[in-house]
Amino acid sequence: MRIDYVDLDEGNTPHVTRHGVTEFEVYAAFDTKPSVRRNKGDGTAGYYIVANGIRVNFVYDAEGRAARPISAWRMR
Amino acid sequence: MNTTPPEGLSEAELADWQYEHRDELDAQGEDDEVVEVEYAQPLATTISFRLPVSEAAAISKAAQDAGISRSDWIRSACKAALGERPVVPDRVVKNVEQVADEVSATYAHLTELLDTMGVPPGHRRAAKPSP
Repeated sequence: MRIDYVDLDEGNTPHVTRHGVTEFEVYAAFDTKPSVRRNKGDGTAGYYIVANGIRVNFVYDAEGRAARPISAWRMR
Repeated sequence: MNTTPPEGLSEAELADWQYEHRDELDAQGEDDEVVEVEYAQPLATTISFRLPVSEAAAISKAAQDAGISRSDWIRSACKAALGERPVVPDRVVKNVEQVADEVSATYAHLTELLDTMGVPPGHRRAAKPSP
């Protein structure tokens, strides 16, 4: 997997930031170049990163080499 | 433990499903497969915003006149507002490098010419220091 850009737009930003994680925090999390994990058994949106105390779940667009965040929350 | 979302969910529905199951998803953590990843340097993102058509046209024209893409023009304006160096397109950097190479080659050629003419180094006018 290669990630060239983080795809946050007017379509996904509202639900990514719904639980108190800001756009800036999502960018900052990816900027730390964290490990990417894939949920076992999840074939739809199973990728995620954990960085700076937040978890960002995303789908991967292989053609565009983009990580498109779906949701994010603070780790407890 | 159910950590597989139903099929056919929209992004917003999937986001809700993931948040509702966050405890299971977080708990699963260490068991999940680590995916090999490479990040672009620098990592980019897309920011979209609305503006009046007249302003968009003015920006497009200004970018065209400057010989850079609209994206680079807007980034330059934003970086200037942030007090950072403007975006210099690769094409411009390459042009400047090409000119620098040509100046170096000309200097070498003229030095060689002066050598051929037998002008001793002490009789050559020193190059003016760059400002």
